[in-house]
Amino acid sequence: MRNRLDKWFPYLVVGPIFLHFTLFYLGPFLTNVIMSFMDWKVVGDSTFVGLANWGRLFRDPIFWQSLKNTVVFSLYYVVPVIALGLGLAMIVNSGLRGAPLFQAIYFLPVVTSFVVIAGIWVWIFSPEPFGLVNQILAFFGLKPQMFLASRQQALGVLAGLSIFKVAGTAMVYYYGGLKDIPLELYEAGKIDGADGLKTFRYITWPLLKPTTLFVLIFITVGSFQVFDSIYLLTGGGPSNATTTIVHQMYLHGFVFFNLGYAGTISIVLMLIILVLSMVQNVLVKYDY
Amino acid sequence: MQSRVRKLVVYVLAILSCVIFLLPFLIMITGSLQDKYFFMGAPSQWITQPLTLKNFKIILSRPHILRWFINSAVISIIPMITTVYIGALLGYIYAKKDFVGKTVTFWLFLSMIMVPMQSYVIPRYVLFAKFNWINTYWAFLIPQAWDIVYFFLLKQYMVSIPDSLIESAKIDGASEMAIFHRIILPISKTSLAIVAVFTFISRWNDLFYPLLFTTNARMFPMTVGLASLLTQGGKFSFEMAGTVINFIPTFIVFILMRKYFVQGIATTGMKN
Repeated sequence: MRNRLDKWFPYLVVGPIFLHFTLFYLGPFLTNVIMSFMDWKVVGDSTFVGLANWGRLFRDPIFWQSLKNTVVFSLYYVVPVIALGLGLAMIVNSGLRGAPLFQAIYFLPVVTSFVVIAGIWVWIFSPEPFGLVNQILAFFGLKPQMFLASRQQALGVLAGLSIFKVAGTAMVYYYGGLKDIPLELYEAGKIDGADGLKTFRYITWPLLKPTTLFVLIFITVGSFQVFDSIYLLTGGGPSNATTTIVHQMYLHGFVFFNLGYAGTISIVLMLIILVLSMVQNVLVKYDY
Repeated sequence: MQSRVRKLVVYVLAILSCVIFLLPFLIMITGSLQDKYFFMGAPSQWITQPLTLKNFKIILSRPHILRWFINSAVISIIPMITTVYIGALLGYIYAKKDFVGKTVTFWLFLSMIMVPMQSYVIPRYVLFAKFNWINTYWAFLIPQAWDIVYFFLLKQYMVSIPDSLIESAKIDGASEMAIFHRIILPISKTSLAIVAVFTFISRWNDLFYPLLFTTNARMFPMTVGLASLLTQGGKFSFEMAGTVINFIPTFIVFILMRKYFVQGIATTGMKN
């Protein structure tokens, strides 16, 4: 009896899980693709509208604004995360005392909720003269800035929050990468008379290339999904200066209930992420 | 001489970045323990103001706050347990068993990793509205019962378990489930701990998903509840008391399980 059940063991487990997968993942995703060609109603009959949602998308200036904002956010965010992550990893890897403690402190924001950090960030970058950064600026004789209330500065302040939150993840990846570099290479470099900068330029940085590539794609994909800090701190404002792809999808789907249109936006997001992972695969394959 | 200077520079940089990374947390803690609308005047006032637990008393007497905490605990602890268990069971089967449809189902699972949650959450919302699952725990516990990424992580680990261990148990007459419980689970402890801590933290901190699936304030988890306080705008020290309450469980998990976070990131990363 026991043996007979054992024969079916894989099917008894995989069957229900595959059903679950179809009902909650695959099915909703395929429905979403279909949804982008329909006027989907929460209540009542949904109608097929062909490319109407896609046409609307191409003519929607706020969608283009959100795409532009997302790309600008990504540009503000990606390079500092890489630089900071690598810098912190080199500090932790330099053999200083208490390295695990330092590493834990740099990693702390990663495990902290956006809600927690956003609440603090709002005060650090308060537009009032008593805000922390404005006080520092005043110390250097500079005028107080508007930060999140400024069309020019808001995206930068939001990117700063994400950099602070994610740098620790990049640090851990780079730390792993640095550990994998054979020490003999540094010895050989020393014999050839390479100084610190040259060692970094000719040994460390080239050997970290796979790590950099991975971190680059990983955080770029993340940056295209930015939502939490925008929802919490700006709501997309001032005048759409910080609305992003996912924020637009949220507004259309769950505030205005244009489900078909929101579904279309989410397909664009998926296509962007798909292209990014394909770029990664090609780069890995040809050992860029 | 030169190396000594360099060492000094590294220490200065290390401590300076520690100060920058800890500053927001210090602001949070001092803010929650003082009585003010916003910090006024010079930074020296942070230290000189008297400390008080008043904010915590007020916030705990507010409606729903305890409920939010319990909601967060339910929708992070239960999915943590099921994600580990189902992920391990499924990982074991895909690592060690042969069955019809293995390749096809595996590639279907794999392909959905590329799809961001945003691209299937709307139809899921429509479905759950039909099930009457909005504002219930089911909207969290059922779809988040397992996770494709962690299933892959565990499968990856279980491939490395020697077949001879499983074979010898089979000869002793152990059933498949007995082998899984008595052999596979115990030797996978580290991987299971990694999956557990990451699931807990990501569920506890999640804002987007519960924002969509809870509209009734009684069903909010901490993140959505706090967000409702933050976006209304309120007294700073009061908000900070709320964020401290939300922060404490993740902080405790992080301190106790620190090594698994570092290991987990290292293993999930490059193998994808």
